[in-house]
Amino acid sequence: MSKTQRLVYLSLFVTLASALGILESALPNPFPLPGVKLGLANIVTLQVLYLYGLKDGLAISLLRVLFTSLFVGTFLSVGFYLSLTGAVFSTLVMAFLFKYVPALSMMGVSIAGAVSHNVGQLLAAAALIQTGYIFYYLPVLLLSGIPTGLATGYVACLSLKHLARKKFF
Amino acid sequence: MEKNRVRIAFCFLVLVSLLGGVLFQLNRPREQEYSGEEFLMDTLVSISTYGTDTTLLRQATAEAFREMRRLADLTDRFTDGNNSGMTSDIVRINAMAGIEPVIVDRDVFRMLQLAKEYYALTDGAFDITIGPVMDLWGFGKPEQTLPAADDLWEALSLVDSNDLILNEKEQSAFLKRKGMSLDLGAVAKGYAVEKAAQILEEAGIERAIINAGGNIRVIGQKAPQQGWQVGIQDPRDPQALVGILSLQNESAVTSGDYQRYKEIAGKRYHHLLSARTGYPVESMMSVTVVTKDSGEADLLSTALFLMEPEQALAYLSQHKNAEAILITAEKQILCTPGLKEKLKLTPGEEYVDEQKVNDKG
Amino acid sequence: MSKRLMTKADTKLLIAVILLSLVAYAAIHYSSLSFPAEGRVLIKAGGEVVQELLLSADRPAQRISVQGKTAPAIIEIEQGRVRVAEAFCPDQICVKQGWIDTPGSSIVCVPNELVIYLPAGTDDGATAVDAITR
Repeated sequence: MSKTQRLVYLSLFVTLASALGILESALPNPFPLPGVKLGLANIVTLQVLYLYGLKDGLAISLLRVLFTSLFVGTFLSVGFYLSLTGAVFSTLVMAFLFKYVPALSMMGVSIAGAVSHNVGQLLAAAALIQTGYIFYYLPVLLLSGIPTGLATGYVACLSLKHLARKKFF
Repeated sequence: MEKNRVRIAFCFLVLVSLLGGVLFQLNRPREQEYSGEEFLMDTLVSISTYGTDTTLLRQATAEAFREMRRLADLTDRFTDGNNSGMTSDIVRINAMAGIEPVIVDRDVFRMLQLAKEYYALTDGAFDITIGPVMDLWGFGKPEQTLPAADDLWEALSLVDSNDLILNEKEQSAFLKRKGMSLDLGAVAKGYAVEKAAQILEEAGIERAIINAGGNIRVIGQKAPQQGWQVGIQDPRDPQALVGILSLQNESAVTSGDYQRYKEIAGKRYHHLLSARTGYPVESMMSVTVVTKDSGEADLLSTALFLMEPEQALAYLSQHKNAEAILITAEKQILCTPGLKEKLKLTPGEEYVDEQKVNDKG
Repeated sequence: MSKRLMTKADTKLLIAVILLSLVAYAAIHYSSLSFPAEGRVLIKAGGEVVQELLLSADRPAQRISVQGKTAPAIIEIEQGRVRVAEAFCPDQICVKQGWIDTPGSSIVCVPNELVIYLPAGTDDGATAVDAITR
């Protein structure tokens, strides 16, 4: 596909990811624990990483965090930096796994992504707020990455297969 | 195609449960806490309110603080910085001592009435005209000398609540002799806290705690079947508790010899002075009063502190409108029987827990 | 479409994550027993938090100057406890209070509008009180 085509698709992906991020922030969290997110935008990150690789995946992630925070009004807040750290960390982890551990399907990568997103946020929070108490939540965050990872992975997988069938790429 | 159907069904289930979770959370009226803190009446006052309507919580708390600020301005003994241009009623009464009556705010009048009632009830142990003696000791000023006997004698002669004339019709107060002065430290805080609590209750707040530097007033319960847990500070160890009270819709106020003191030549002199000797009362370490009205709790805790332990117990068994925990100078802990349900004692080893109950009914 | 949704590697990862979380849980609960003084101390002046510091058992002693409403105050932190070393207030109540080290306790200097506060930890459920009368 041409550069322009790719640009257009990527723009669509960024918009989609941002929209998912905004939607997620509008919904009350069904899991009332701090730091546990649905991570809907990860659906898009997964797909972009799979289709286009690390560079584009990273770009999408960063832009997504930026746009979502601008829209929701949390730009440059503590939450923003947490999201940023989590997103970058998880994107890097997922890209690494996609490339070097082909034994993992999208589901496994998604789980790893969700878990590393939470861990990244936790580390950032510990650094910013300077407290050891926050690591109290580590077990929960690790475990919660499994169902959220599975859910987003599943959706990403399904929609990719569907799109591949319809020969969008 | 069976697999497809299963897959679709699975997705549907997941979506529905997520949606259900979201809707559930949306509809659940979540309880919020709204707290405020302000420096008033020489202490840190904090009001914490709980409920589902944040606007209501915020408004009620703001109104409660407004009232407390108003009363603080009216009862300040010294006009330094905290008065918003309005001279306090107490300053005016003190300034007009021996000259003429001063018309005062209704709440201030009520406070003075209460103080006079307790003066009578405690046979003069509690006396808010103790101003001249307090000034002599200078709690809050750096002087480090004991008051001279002559000066003390002279100051004591100016202490007599009988010479505080209150005129109900005019709502005025008059100190008959020049040099007399009032100190409302024993009643103003509690009274203000009680008014704040009334404001919260009238606004419809069902659960709240007001903490004015240790003067506690709670509204409602902490949780269904559980009262608010209020600890009683160990008078000799600021980090320990001698007991925990379980309270609902009532106040707990403590007068202690550790709250305000001066160290002169290595000995401690605290601020609860006897109206007879002019010296700090030595028989008690702390008195905690539990009763509904915070103003009464404040008054009573000081009054009981100024009595001998036996006198205090006799008073309590006679008047039954309040419960108390007395900690004597000999480290004895005495409680009134009505506290059995509410109090759990957790004293250190050096305390003697005498459930010395009042037998007289 | 007939491929399994999750590969063997996926399942291994899943199990690894579960194990990791169990290890983390054990680690946290074991360590919080041996480091009880890993709390924080908050210093508020005029209602705003001006400093937030870690209060750990092996931290070297510090002396901090905090600007109060009327005058600066010197606060000392060492080995899991904190106190007001010097303050320019008439009653010196804050200084007389001495050291505090229990979460939930606080030192207040009213003339300077200073509050030094040790936030209560989440594990204190058993003995935490809502307020202390004093």
